[in-house]
Amino acid sequence: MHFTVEKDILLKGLSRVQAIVEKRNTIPVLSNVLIEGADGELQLTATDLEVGMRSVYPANIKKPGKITVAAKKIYEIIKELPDREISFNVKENSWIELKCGKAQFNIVGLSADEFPHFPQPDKANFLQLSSKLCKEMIEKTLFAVSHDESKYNLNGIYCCVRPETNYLRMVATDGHRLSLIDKEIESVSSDELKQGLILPRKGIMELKKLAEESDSELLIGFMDNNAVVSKQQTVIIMRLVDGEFPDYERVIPKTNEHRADIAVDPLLHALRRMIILSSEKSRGVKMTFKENQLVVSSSNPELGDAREELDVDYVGPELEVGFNARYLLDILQVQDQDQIQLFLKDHVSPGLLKPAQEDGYLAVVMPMRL
Amino acid sequence: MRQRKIIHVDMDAFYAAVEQRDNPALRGKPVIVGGDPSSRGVVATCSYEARAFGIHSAMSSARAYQLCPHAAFVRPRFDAYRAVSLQIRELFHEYTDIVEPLSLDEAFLDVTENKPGIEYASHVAREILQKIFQRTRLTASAGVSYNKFLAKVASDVKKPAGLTVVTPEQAEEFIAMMPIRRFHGVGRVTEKRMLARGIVNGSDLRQCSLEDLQRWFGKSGQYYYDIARGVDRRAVVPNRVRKSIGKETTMDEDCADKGEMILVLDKLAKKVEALLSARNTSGLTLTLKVKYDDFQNVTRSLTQLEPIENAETMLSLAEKMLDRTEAGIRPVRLLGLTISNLTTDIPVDETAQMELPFHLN
Repeated sequence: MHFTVEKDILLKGLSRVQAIVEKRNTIPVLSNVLIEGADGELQLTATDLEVGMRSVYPANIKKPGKITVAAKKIYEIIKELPDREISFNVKENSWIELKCGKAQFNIVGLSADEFPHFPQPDKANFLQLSSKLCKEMIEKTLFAVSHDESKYNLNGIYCCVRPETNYLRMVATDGHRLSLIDKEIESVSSDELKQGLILPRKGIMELKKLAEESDSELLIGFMDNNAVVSKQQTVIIMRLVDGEFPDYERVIPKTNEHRADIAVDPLLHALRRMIILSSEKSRGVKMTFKENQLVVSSSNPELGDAREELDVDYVGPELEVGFNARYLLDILQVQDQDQIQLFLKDHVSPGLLKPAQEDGYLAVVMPMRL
Repeated sequence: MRQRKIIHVDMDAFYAAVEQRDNPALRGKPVIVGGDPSSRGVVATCSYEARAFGIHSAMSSARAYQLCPHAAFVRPRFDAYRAVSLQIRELFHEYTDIVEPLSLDEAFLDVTENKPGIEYASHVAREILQKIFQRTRLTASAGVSYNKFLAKVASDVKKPAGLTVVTPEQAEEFIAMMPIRRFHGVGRVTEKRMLARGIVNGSDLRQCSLEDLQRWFGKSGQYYYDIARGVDRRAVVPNRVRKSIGKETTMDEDCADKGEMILVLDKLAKKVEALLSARNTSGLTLTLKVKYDDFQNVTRSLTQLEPIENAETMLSLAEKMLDRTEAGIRPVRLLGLTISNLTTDIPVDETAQMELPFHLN
């Protein structure tokens, strides 16, 4: 294979696949990127067998072919090359000769035969999703995904379509808090989404990047145990999480009668101040609700204590409840509205948070014992 | 490294068995512990009689009712289960302190070194099963092997009241015959995908290369590769639990006035009560600590039959114990109250974060 390509194009393509490539892998070829050239197009593919990505870029293909090469190394090299056209030439025994200006590299490649098969999705049954909407839904749920690998069924976002509706739902929980969003989409004929499925965190992060790149539509489909997402010249394929998502609806409080209406910004800033003196491990802050007043406080035996008063709308009995400030900040940071409602029952039951104007979002946070 | 000796003990149909033990009318009958059939609840445990109808845990109670309408549906009594759980854990600790409880009714024990110095782990397991029955009138099953994975699978082989030993020599054959669904970590979806590739049992799994397993199953590939070879390096990690909850205070000045000391004890008792109630626990033993003005410490303890949880009880016990010290005759600089013999497990590194109640009905 021999092709020439602008540095910027190749660099962009290689930088996109860096997050996919597995750092510690027992299969050597997986730390490589597959580079294929044919019909005036350059195709870059990377996979860790959980998440794969393939993108197509324009290039001047002088001789078609394919090769794999260490993804990190080639990226480092291309990054440092001058802003000129690069010549990429595969020689005998999988050696790659790179030329750019007066610089020349000879790099060890690995035959493309070793590289795992990347399925060609059939886009007939794909559903369309606006990039903007997808990004919003992921942003509002991703933070609640569990990092505990032993809770593998919580290591992703649960996606489903509400029965008899066109509402797409995303839910994430780590067992301590839960974040849920419903948004109307155009039409759904996917049986997989009707049944519900779990997208893995790593795949979600790539999907989010893809959604952020431009406003054009995303196409999402499912095949075997994979979700396939495509947008313009890029395809992402991710293995669905093999597990059952817990019965999350059961932990969404329905009878929390004590409601506080709180301005998002002042609370966000107060929490950022109070968290400084909270215990580093638990991040607990105390929230004391009195008539039209909320006192947020924290204390640390080694450092001292802090408190801040906020004006809120609250008429219930005096209520004292501990929360992990980090969990509340995660929720507040993704709000678009100025006001949020917190529904509480007591200091040991889950608290429910919703934006003041119903917009399909809710969060549930379990208190802490302080 | 020296070969480990690990026992996995699993109570048989635990919740249901406790219900049948405590209510003779339920014995010999299908019993389902869990949610009400008219609710959205699920089956937590069911008796062996109910399993004959195809009922299993995690099934919806409504479905269980369809399968066996004459079954007795019982709401769980966690206090009763916790009490038994404490009893059996106490028993485990007579053999080893390396006990890792997985739930109320299941635990790993590392008996490589055991307190009675019994040579064979299978003899330890046999004794434990017998003692569990003697003390609780409930049966348990045990698996004995050289790692956690095999011990856990083995405990399930001869349920109920069974003991299965897998020695290093037997491991290969044991794994080879095992249907893949029995491998811990193989869920329904993975099972289907393994079957589709012709992997029916451990022997088939062992034929697969690491590369293939990783290609097919991603990160879990390494795990499947290892367990097919009987390799599991995980150690038994004891859950370190708090043994006591208490509070002490140094007086502003050394004090020889008993009345004043009782006021201090009253405050301490109220604080300890709050600490207990915040953790939803109680304990059987109260200890009074007295430090005299010459820094000499003495303690006095009283153990009750009923768990101690309120400040009033603590104060009246503390007053009695105070009379058994030289407080008042000698000036006192510090007083403390501690509750031990706790009725629930409180982790040492108490993360005060509570869990969302996914499992409650």
